[in-house]
Amino acid sequence: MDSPKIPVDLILSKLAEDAEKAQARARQASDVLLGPLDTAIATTPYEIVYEEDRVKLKHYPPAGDIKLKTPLLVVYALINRETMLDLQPGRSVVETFRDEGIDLYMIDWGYPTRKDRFLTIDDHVNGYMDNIVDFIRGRHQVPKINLMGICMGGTFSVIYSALHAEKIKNLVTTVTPTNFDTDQGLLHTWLRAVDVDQMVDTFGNMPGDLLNLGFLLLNPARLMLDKYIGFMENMDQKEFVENFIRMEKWIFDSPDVPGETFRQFVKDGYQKNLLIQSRMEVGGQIVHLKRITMPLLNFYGKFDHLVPPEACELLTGRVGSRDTEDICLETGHIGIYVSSKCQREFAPKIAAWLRERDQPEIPRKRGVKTRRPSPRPKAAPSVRNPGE
Amino acid sequence: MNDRSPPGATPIDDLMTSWLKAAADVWQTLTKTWPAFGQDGTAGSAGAAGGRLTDFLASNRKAWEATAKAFSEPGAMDALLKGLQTAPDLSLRFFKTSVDGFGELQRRWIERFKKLGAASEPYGFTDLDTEFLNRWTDIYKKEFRQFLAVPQLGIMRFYQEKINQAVDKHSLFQAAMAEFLHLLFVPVEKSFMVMQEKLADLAEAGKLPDDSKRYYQMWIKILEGHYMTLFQSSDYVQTLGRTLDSLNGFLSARQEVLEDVLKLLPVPTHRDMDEINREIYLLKRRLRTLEKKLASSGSGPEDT
Repeated sequence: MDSPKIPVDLILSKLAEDAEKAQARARQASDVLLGPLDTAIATTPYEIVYEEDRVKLKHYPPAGDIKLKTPLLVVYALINRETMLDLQPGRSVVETFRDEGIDLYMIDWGYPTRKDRFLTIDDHVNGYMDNIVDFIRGRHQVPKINLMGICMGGTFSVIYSALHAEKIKNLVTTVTPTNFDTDQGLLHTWLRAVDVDQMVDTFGNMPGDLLNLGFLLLNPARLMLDKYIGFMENMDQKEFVENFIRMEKWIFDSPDVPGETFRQFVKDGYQKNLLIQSRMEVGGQIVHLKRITMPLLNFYGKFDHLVPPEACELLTGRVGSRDTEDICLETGHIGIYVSSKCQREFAPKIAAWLRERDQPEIPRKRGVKTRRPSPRPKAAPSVRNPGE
Repeated sequence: MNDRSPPGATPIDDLMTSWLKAAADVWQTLTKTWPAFGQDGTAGSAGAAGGRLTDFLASNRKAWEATAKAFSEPGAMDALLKGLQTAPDLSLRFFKTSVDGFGELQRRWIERFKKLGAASEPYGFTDLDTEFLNRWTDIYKKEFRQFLAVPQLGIMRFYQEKINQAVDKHSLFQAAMAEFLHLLFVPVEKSFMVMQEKLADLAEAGKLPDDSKRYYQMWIKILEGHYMTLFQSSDYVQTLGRTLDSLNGFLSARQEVLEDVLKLLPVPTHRDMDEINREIYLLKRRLRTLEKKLASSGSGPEDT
């Protein structure tokens, strides 16, 4: 007898099987969700060594001996938070750097409020970043430090390195947009059509939730639907649930972006593409990429839909340095930092690359001049006698 | 008044009759569009498949027919408008505009309903039929908006103007948002159509998967593809821009009204705070510049 074209019996029996599995999963999931869950993020110990306004500097001392003489400063984007680099033990860029003997510093940009709406890129780069770099140089008595930037923080790092090349020994850029003239990423197409002046004038600071909604709309089928169906299918597995919640905690922890910074970033970047042409002006100075003469390592993701390869790969050809390297990993914007595969290919590679370039600086004839900025280093809290 | 007008009918009656006829056409079209509704338009003929939708349509039609019958009586409108005769001309104009506007809207609805059964291109994103949603915005802009722009008089005129402005911007934002949400739903609609076609092909070839998850995976892939196509279309980019502009317009207008209210209370407004914040910001910048100058001159206490 011929088999029917539509295997109704098979489909029905499979459905019944699925229903039984779903029921069992729901029972198990209830135990998981109601039981204790370890969903803490950013658990690697650190100390706050410097504060200025809302900005803090985190210091992660190495786990063992210091293997790199030059400390590394990591600059995260103003969108979302730097906790992504330390999402969970075993999948933590911070942890890997510590294990590699790097003396690590990381900027926590904090949560901008209404009073921060006038802060420009100049204030972030020539203000906060420069003060922090000087602080680290003073603390370690070194003329130069290593600088690593992430996404928008990478763009800031590129600008900083061009304007203050004498303070940076090696530059690492990761998923860093520098060429905004591309149609590979939807964000690039959309932001060209947005009236950013009106947005900033209306909102003051760009609300993090609004930006997050925009990111979700880049792929609603996956990010707003499929992702949660995946969660439902695996919510009986404790480890999966814990990792999922950690990612949710990070992804929706979205500080607002200072209005004037957002305005300049969109106009000079997405709309006029000035940086890659060495025509962008920050703090009254033109950012000449040729002034980036230190070694440069440039990482980006092949499947990055936020900062596509085309937005990243021109940089190494435009800088003044001869020691440059592009590395394109087969992953997306976030996967580069959190996927298990990239844990082996990303942070260890950076550590090795920095180690190769960690030779001491030849001292200047007139001596190294470093300056400690005025904002106070965080001191241990003192107990004041009420009678004083 | 036209030749077919019943004896004793007034121009208002004519206007009302034409509007009622247009509205009746809507129900007529609906009846034809949903076969389950039945030729006689009764809920009972729909059977179980008709369910709540059929009941809803039937009750609406009955209510409409009753209303239409009452208003189609010659002189009914005269009676209704008797009280309005003493009102200023503005009331009549407003009423006429409403009737005209709804008439136009219903004409579009009828066109829309007629299209329901028509074949649609499942992969195309060039004709998204947002015209249907734009219609209300057009009517609002051409006909209703002018009432909110009537010059205000007296001591409260500035406040009233701001309130009218906020109402106006809110209406425009609602319209833009509706259009945007409609656009976001289009890929879902189209993905179901493509899915149906795929399933028909698979059934024909005897290759229907027995695992329900496979169907979901097929659908989500199709949906993702449709969204990617939509998001790159100029229609979407323009609509996104319009929606954000209208949101900004509304929030700014609302803020203006709020600031007036806050002024009455001992609460500083955004404008007040922004002025102070800006002054502090500029002072801090000056301080930073001076500090750096001092440090670079070598006389700073912090030089190492």
